[in-house]
This record gives sequence, C-alpha cells and structure tokens, in this order.
Amino acid sequence: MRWVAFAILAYVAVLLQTTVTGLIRIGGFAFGGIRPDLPATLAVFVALRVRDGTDAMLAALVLGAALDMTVVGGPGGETALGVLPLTYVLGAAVVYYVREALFAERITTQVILALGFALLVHAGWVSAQALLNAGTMTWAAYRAMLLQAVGVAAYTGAVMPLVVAALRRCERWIVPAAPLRRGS
Amino acid sequence: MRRRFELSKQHVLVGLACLCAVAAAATTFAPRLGGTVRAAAGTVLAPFADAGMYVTATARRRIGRPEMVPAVEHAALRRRADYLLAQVDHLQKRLADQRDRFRQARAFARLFGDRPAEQIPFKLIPARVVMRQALPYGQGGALNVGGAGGAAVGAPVTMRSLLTGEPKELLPERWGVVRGTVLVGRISASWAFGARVALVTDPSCKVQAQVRRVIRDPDNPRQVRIVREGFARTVKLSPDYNDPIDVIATGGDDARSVVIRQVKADHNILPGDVVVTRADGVCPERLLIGEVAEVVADAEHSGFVWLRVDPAAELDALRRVYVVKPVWTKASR
Repeated sequence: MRWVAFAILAYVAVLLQTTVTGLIRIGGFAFGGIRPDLPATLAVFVALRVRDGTDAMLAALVLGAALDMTVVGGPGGETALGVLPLTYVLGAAVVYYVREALFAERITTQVILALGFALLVHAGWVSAQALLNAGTMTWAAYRAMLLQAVGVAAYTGAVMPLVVAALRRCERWIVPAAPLRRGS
Repeated sequence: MRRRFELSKQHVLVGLACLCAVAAAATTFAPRLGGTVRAAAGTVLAPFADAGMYVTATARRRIGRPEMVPAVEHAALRRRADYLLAQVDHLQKRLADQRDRFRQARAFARLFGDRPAEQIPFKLIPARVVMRQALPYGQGGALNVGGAGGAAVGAPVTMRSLLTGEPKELLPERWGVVRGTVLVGRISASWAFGARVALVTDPSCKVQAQVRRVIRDPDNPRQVRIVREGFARTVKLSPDYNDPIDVIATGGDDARSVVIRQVKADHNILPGDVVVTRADGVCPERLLIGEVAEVVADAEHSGFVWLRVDPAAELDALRRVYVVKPVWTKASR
C-alpha cells in the first residue's frame, strides 16, 4: 500500500464529497435527500485490491476519520466523533473477508459490496448516534434517517462501477502490483 | 532474554481504533470537543473546497429550480398577486406613517437643531459557503468567515433574495432586483478563519419567528380568534386585527422544510401565510424565513396545529451569504 498517494486520494474524495456531490444529490423524498458516499466506494475498492487485511482496515479508518471531520450535524444535533471510522473499519473487514468467495471483477459484485458496505456503515452510524443522543432523538426522526441510509447505500452501489473504472487508471499509484510468484 | 517490541500495522490499527472509541465517548459527554476538532479539519479542507462549491452552486442554479420563482400554476400566481397587493396596501400605510414621522422630525430639528443619525444596529459581513455537510443527515455547511471576521456563534446568516426569474427579459444581462433578505441559518460553531452554519432546515437550528397572515380576499376574510384587553373574541381578519403570531421555527425531519409546532388552531393560519424572524437581540426582525406550505392538525394536542414551511432560500445552491453582526448589544449600550 502506498500511503502518501492514498492520503492524497482520500483528501480528494472527501473534498468531492463535501462539494460536488451536492450536484448529484437526489431530493424530493419524504425522508430527505440522498447522495452517494464517495469515500465508501474508495474504501471498498481498496478492500478488494490490497493483499493485507490490515491495510484495508487502516485505509478504511483513515477515510472514515476524514469524513467524520466534515460531518456538521446528524441524529440529535452535534454528532459524536469517532463512530464513523469504527463502522468503516468494520465494513472494510467484512468486504475483505467476503471477497474470496466472490468474483471481484464483476460489476454486480462491486455494486452489491458497495451497497452492503454503505448500508452497514450508515445504518450503524445512524443507530449509534441515535443511541448516544437518545434524549433528543425521536422515533420518527430515527426512522427517516434509516430510510435515508438505505437510499445513500443504494446510490453508493449505483455509482460504484463508475468509481472503479476511474480508480483503475490510478490503481498502481495506490496498490503496488503483486510480485510475480513461481508458477504464476 | 527480553523480547524487543516492534510496532506493526496491527498495533497501529488497534491503537487508532481505541482512540476512535475514546473520542466517541469523550465527544458524547463534551460535544464542544468534537466541534473544536472538526473546526481544525475545516481549516484544512476549506481553501480547496471553495472551487468545488463554486461549480456546484453555479450548476445547481442553472439546472435546478430558479431562485425564488414561484410555480407557474394559475392558483399560485393568483395567490402571489394577492399577497403582493396586500403588501402594496401595507407599504402605502407605512409610507404615510413615515411621512408623518418625517414631518414631526423636521419640526423637532427646527426647534432643537439637528441630531446625529441613529447608528445602524446590524452589520452584514459578506461570506461564502465553501463546504457542505458530507453526509445528508444534517443540513449545514462551512463559511470562509470566522471569529476573526466577526462571525459569532448564534449569529444569523442571510442571503439576498433576487427576482431573477420573472423580470429577466426587462433587465439587462447579469442584473437583478433585490426583493429582500432571507434567513438561511445560524452559526453553530466558529473558529478563527471559518464558521459552521446550521441551515434553517436542520433540526438543531431554532429561530424565534412570527407568522404573518396574508389578507387574500378583503371582501371575504377568514375568521380568527383574538384576545384584546383580557377578552377573547372571534373577529374577521383585517389590518386592525392581524397581530403577528409568535412561534419557534425549527428544521423538519425531512431535511427540506421548516416546522413550527404547537400553534393554536384558532389563529386560522393557512398555506401561503408568511413566516418572518422576530427580534431576539441577535437576529433582526422581519427577515423572511418562508411560506406556510401545510397546516396539519396536531394529533397529540387537541386545538393545536403544526405548520410545514417551505424555506424561501434556495438552500441547495447556496453560495454568497451574509453573517449578521449586531453593532451593539443591550449590554454594551
């Protein structure tokens, strides 16, 4: 794993998340608007490519922490810091251990993994924040945010093939090519 | 022989995960701590995010619904025309009142000499939204003006409402007509060179507001209940019996509207009535918040309703805003 290149890419992903995803935001739902989680797609991409599971989880932790720094509000107002990186690590671990049983190059697999990752991360984050702010949260607001999390996950899954296509061009800068082995 | 400790990636991962858990616990009990850390991150991200926000706001304005243009349906246009006629009537009365005051002031000046003009109590600090909330669960953004520039926590953030849609063909290119000042949100955190704004649609944003009922059909006005000199009675809505109704506006659960809860049903508020700010020492009065879109009976409290208000500002394409700073406060006066 090339960490300097990855850090730059993570920075760009968070920048895009806080600015231009507003452009592709889909509104009009009763529970609020949805937009894709770009750092989640990067975390899934890394978890599918790296050889070491620790690298996948560390990368997810960095992305989750960077994203957490830009979260202004959420369930119950001011949200607790540190929950998002933990859910990202959990999601990356699941993707890393599940990938062996799947064909990672298939678009369907990428979509399902991104959707599952984003669902786990966002539903987990919303639930944890709601529990930490149990005094100010209402069931109606929690239900609306869970529905929003499902929408975000679906949208993230939908954009995943595009992100993979874009990241393949710079893959060698982030993940070094696997060394040739005997018999390969 | 003692084994030498080597720092591995697993150690780093476990250490950082523990740090996150501690941070979660600490910021739950001390939310200000999280705000400070996030403020530092905002300083790192904001300079480069500015260009992205420019692209987003410009494109949103072009492809989204034009700013402040009402629906082109007959009923909506009719409602708007009625509202404007009521406004004209109201402004004519105010103008007559102002002329009267001016006459009195001139008479006073003639008798006692000129006095210095009263200081404008609020100052508008221009700012730009350089970043939006990363996740869609809260409604907020970061500004490029912070505590050093005068953006204090709790300060209202406004924008100019322009009539860019309707009279476009009458105006030269790139010209607009300022219609008024619209409340966008309030500063929720501030650091030296940036600030965070919670938009009016965010549940954490609370604003002291007033509902102003619009007299649409003077020949057939609605019935409202008023209290004068301790006696409650039902009267027809007229300029003499149209006191503004004090309420508290907060962001709705759907993240796109403002909600006003526990309003007495006998105020007879209808969709199309206007919601403006109430002076609270920090926020000037009569900044437009939005228009009542829906009046729903409160199932839990008999005789009360809650209002869903469509914000007047186009919050998706938010870019140029003004932070309102009181020039003096009651304490400093």
